[in-house]
Amino acid sequence: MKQQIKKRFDFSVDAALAIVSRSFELDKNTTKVTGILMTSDREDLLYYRGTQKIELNAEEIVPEKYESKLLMSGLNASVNDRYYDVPPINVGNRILKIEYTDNASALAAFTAYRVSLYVECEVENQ
Amino acid sequence: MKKQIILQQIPVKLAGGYTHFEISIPNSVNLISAVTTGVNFKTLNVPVGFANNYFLLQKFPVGHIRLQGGRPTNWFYDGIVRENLYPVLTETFYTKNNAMTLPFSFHGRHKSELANSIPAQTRITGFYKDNIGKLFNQNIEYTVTLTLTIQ
Repeated sequence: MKQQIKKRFDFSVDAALAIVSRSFELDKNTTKVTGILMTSDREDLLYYRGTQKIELNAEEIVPEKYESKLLMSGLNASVNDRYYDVPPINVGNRILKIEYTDNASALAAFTAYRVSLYVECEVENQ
Repeated sequence: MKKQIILQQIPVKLAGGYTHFEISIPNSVNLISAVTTGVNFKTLNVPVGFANNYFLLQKFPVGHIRLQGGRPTNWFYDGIVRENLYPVLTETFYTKNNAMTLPFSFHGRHKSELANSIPAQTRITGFYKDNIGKLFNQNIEYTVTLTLTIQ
């Protein structure tokens, strides 16, 4: 039986203008990734300063310099309508790689912050 | 059909200036389905007259963008680039008088604008015209990120 689950992956950005590279492994029974969502404990910093590249099985979901604000949802979005739809990609080795870049911005000064990546995926249950 | 996103950064420095650019797309593309824009300011001083106008600064029209190359001699996209200039408060879910303090563009899920254009060649050309620098009467340095969703 197929079931939809949500996973959360966290990393922290400790230095201004840093590039943070992380690889996360999805469950072995994952068959499809349907959505992604980004949030943070300092949403203003993620909104104004963040850009990233996200890859699944070495296949690009969003390219380098893609702004984090385009992957965020607020309270006014319906709870069932918050994830960014991922086009059908072969899950392959089930490794999700993110390369996050902190950029200079005139609208938000840097302090250390946490970035959370939520992944909505479909798993096959025995 | 596989979806892919391609991205172009347009640096802007001069008030009211035009910036022309060219984007290469693979020749296997058969549809440009959507266009999204975002702005990252490097220098910005909001003039006093504007600084307290909370509603005006949300979704502020930063500039205009036009894209050509769908079919020969046709402009297939003409849009206004909007961005929030109001600094976000650190109390994320703070509400006052029923007005949320986070940018409008953050509140809804960000949806790209539909373009639905069939490219005739592997080059998309276009220009960006600055509006905010002219309005604020200062040279503001910023980058406009243009993303095209192709199939």
